[in-house]
Amino acid sequence: MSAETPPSDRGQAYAAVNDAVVRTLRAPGPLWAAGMAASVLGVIAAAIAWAWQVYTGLGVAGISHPVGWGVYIVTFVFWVGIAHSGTLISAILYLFRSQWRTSVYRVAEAMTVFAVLTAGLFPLIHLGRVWYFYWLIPYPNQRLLWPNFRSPLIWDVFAVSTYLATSALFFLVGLLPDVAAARDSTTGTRHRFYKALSLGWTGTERQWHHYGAAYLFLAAFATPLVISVHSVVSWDFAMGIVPGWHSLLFPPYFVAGAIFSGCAMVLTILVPMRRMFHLERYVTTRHLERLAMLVLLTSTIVGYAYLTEVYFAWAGVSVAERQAFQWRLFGEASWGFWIMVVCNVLTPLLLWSRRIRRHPGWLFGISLVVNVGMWFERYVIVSVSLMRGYEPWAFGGYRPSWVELTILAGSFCWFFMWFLLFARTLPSMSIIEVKETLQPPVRVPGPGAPHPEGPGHRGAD
Amino acid sequence: MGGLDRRGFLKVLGTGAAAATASACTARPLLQHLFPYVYNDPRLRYGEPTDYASMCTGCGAGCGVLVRTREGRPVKVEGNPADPLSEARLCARGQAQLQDLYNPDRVPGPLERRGEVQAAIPWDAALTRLSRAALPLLAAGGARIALLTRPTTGTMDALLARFAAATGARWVAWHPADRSDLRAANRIAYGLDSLPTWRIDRARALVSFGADFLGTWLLPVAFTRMFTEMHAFRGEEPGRFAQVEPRLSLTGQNADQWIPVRPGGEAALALGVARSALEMRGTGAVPGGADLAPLLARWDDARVSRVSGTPPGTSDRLAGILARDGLALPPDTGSSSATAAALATSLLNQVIGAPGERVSPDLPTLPGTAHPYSAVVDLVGAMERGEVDVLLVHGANPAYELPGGLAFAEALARVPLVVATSPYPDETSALAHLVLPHPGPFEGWTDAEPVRGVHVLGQPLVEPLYDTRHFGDVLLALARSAGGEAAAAFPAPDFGALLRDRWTGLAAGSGLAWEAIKGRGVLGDLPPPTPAPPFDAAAVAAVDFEAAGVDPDAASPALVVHEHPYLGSGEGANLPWLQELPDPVVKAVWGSWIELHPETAASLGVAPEQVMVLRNAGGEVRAPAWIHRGVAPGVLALAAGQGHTRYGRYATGVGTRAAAVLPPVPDPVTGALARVVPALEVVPQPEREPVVRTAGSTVQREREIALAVPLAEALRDAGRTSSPMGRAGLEPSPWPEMYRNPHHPYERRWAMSVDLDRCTGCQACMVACMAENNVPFVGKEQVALGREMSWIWIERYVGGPESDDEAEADPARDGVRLLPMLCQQCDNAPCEPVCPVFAAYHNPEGLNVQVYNRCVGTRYCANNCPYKVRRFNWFEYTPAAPLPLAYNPDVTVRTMGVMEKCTFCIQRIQRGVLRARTQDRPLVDGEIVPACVQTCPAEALVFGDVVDEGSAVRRHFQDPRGYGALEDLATRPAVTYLKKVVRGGTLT
Repeated sequence: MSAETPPSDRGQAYAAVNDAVVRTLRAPGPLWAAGMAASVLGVIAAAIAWAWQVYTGLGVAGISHPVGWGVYIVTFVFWVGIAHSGTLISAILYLFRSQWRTSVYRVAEAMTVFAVLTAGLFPLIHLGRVWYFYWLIPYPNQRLLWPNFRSPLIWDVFAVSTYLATSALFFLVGLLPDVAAARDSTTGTRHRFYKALSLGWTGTERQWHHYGAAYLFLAAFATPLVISVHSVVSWDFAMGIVPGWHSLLFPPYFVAGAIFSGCAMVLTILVPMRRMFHLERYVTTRHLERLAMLVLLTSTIVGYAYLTEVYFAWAGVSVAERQAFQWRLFGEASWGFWIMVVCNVLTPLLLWSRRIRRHPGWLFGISLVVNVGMWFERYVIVSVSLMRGYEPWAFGGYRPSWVELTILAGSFCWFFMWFLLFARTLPSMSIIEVKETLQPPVRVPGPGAPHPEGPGHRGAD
Repeated sequence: MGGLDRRGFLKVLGTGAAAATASACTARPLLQHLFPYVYNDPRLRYGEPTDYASMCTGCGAGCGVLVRTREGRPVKVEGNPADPLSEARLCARGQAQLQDLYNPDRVPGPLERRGEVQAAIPWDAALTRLSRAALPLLAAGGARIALLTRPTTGTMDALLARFAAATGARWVAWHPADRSDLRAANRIAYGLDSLPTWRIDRARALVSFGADFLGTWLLPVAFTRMFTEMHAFRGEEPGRFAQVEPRLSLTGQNADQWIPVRPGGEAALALGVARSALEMRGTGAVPGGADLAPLLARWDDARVSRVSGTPPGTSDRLAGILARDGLALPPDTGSSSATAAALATSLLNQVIGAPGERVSPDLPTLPGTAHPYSAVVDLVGAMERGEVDVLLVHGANPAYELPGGLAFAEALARVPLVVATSPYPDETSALAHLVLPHPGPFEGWTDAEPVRGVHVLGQPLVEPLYDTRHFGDVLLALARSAGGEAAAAFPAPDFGALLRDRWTGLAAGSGLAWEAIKGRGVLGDLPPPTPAPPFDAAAVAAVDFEAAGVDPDAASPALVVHEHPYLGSGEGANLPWLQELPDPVVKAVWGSWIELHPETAASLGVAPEQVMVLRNAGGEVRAPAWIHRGVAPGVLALAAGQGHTRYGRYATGVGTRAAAVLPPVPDPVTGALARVVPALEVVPQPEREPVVRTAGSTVQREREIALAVPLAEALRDAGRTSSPMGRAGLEPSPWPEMYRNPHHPYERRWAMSVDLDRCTGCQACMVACMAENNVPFVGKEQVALGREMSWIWIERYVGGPESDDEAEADPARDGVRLLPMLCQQCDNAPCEPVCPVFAAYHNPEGLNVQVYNRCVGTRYCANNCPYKVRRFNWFEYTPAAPLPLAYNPDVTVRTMGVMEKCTFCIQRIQRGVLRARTQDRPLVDGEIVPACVQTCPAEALVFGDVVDEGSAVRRHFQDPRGYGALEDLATRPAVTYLKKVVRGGTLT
């Protein structure tokens, strides 16, 4: 694993890395400003829509009976899914010493944090009485009331909040040396901001030692969360008895889907970012190809899950389950299912081609298709299942309202708003880890020689 | 209790609350001063309900009711146990009377037309204007004064008759659902100008040739009670019932065999059945049989089949079941063929020996005055000729309900003084010169005589919300101001005194004092059938039955206009509970639709929900098409009662006015208004309009929800008991459980049984529930989104679980199954574990309780409920003032964002439990009744403690017909359904 060829000329100086990364932190260009303005406007629009919903009642959304969960829960699961590959790339691949992660993991981690931040809004937005959201949190109160620990929604509260805390911590700890570098090269407000974030980092051997231990610990801590969080989210459905929800398959199916969508989202972000900030030397086509292969792998897992679900519905004894899947595949709302199949199973088959895997434009396009497909996967599971329950008299449909669609669009704006802020304020590549993959600017030990690596042994800044 | 005393008290209390919300709607302040009692009234217990006996005025049936008042404010209407006809039960329209009382669109006080506007005037001025116009006319003999009312019974009938006689005024008493054809048939056959009394309960086989007696016909609650008495399965051979009609009605859905018939073909079929029955019994065995035989011989099976459009052999099959204590009921369409059919059913009854046993031609139903439509036509003619100077309209809305071809409005324009007494600003009031609003329900004295010998008293029990005056008082004032003979005829000071005099007379034999009469509310009992008067076979045989049938080969479809099951002829259209109550067949709300058979739709080129315009010389109707097999081919069906242009906010602009196309010419023989319209121009429109329904799928799609058992099997198993106590969670589950229910074993487990063989789908339970539990109505747009709030509803499936194609579902072939769905109070409830905040939790008595104040609105419970009985408050649904006065103070009004559902009326359970505890006694089975159980006219619902070995509900749980809906989900519901008993063999 340490035998990877560095992504640059052997003679490249560490200073060039610093320049490349710190360059991204300089004064914003018009493109950035335009993106930021659009995002903020979208967030404001969504906030107005939400305020309208809180004031008027949840009836302004399109959800009804029997489809009580619609765009909000679909989008919640979508963003939680997006959040997953961040931790996968940064923590799991770190533990497995996959070096190709170094140039992409910061972006993936930031994406994770922002995606969880976005996802976390939706359980609040969808509440009938959002002003009592804190009743879902176990806090001591004079009424001696606890939340219902049997409810998957309470598990969700724990899973998502734990995930947010851990991924944020992991992200911030990983940033320490780089933020310190930025601190040292800035003045004024930005200096104070970086100073606060860097927690007095000076780069001493002792600090490096603790830093390494903490990073390893958090990586190890975050790894099971990748599995657990989306498993818990899947239990929101699998613990219910709704035909189309009640399935043992859900946890692995959801985790694979989460990694699938997460990797696609990393590609969606990385490809334009790489182009805009001229990071081609660090984020190489080989990195992109690795991500593409992960997308391809998880796509086949997800496709297999689709087949299994249909098979069990067909072979099982539950009439309601069988008919729910007939409805899903061939009913009035089946367009959602077929969008999902085309986007998530058929389109990623293109990635079998090495040429496409290594072509950033193709990857960008495919990643967008996968994102759309994964949103529709959740729509099919959450809402289409609810349309056909056990009681035929209560069959119904669902059409999202403008409020839901505005808030859906606003959630992307919210996410990209944070991301654009991140891109301009924090190093979007790990300076130190990229440097580690370079030949040290010392006497050349010879081509292809193993590079000493380990958490306690890093080059001085 | 003294009337003055109580009313004085109510004046303070009853309107105290009203004033706060209602004052904005009133012309005068409702309350000038508020006085506290120095000494509290000892009869008043704050927080305790007080029931007053009164009478329902929702339709003409006059059911006795008990009105529950809280602190002087009526909050619930229930049937009066003293009423021998309704026996404490009430229909949907009766339950909705509260919204009539508290309707936000009521006229606040008298109005006078000044130019184009109607302005408020004081009563004195209004009455002065009336008497100034009327007195010269009265002096001249009164012939230029006309009164148009509904058919009347009781004191009002006596008053109007005496008024008309003393003053010479012209009086017409007419209802748009004109049953003059039935009176005419009784006149021809028996020489009696009245409606017979049908004793359905004494029959063992029943064939109705169209009368919707469970829904809209005459006395629906009483007939439902009689029908269940005759038809419901009780472990022994039950009665049989077939319904013959062009359009599937609420009643038709309860038939063992529903027989679609061409409109006008009912007479032919009835004659065919009579022919077959006469052959079976032998001509000699039937009085007058020899006279009838030649007439009947002409109606052989082939001809009957061709004219009526029914399959060959139908006559013989129906005659076969009627042979055993049979009874035939007439159609209800008013057309000349209906008269023939009414006569034919009289004849058929005569042949099967029903008169004197199961029908009493000489015992009148709704005794009193009812004129045929021809009397209205004569009145309109007189108005046109300028022969009417003062027209008083009471209880009727002629500008809305008369056929478009009659040009009533033009005739009305020629009347110098039109006085309307409607409490609503309806179409007729809008054209009136004076509006003198009559009190709303429970605000004034009234009474009725539903069947000869049964008297129902309606006493006022709330201070009138608005500045109204009883129409009887207006007439009395007018008569008195006339002086002379007219004044002498009316010594009583007011209508209440008149009524009291009459009632003390009625009660003379019983020894009851006036206070006791008021407390009881009902006098008399249903008399036993009397020996039948002689049947005039020769007169019946002389009737030309040949001309009556419609042409079976007619190219254009006929339109059948039926009474709206809840809005009647339009009177109930401004009651939102009734507007939002789904049609019992189509399950559509807030609107009109034209029902037609798929074949008819194909031949007309009409697609589902495509808007159709039906046009004739009188006018046009416009409504979307609803295509199903519950209509005979070649028939279009449309409900009356909608399409108001004025009336109130909930009625105006909803649906289409069916009366516009009704034929304006009365039937030459009976004078009735025909509700079958032949030869209409059908113009399909390019646009579609959704028919907003509460039904998802009307077939069960292989799920075990509404089940049935063949009669032979039910008879075989009758008397056996099964022990399905695991169903309600009384016995441990056979499966391992991670979370043991901490309340096991239950000390008390509330449970309900629902007998599907009894439920008629009348939906009275739904309105009772809305009234009891403050369930909001949400309007058409919200229902279209699936957001209706009702906690209980009647699911209507065509055929058994095997049906899975809605387009093929055929009520005539597969039968209809009706299933009341409400919260099943599962022992192992899917809604409970998923609630994150314990808003849904299991109480120690087995109820799935919903704590509204704790609910945060995740809606997971509703998603996870397999029965889909949980309802979410998408908005804040506060109705317009003063409707909130109808709120039950025992039940929380739910706020926006909260889930709600049926609780088995936990407030009633709690009240009952506490009452027993304070009286230090055990609870008695049947002591606690939820609102739906209380009102169910068919007694399909039984409630009680299933742990109690002696309870009725326990017996039903052990009935071999019992099952739980979707039982295989292991929810262990506390509602046990008893399978419908399918009477095969005889009818199919």
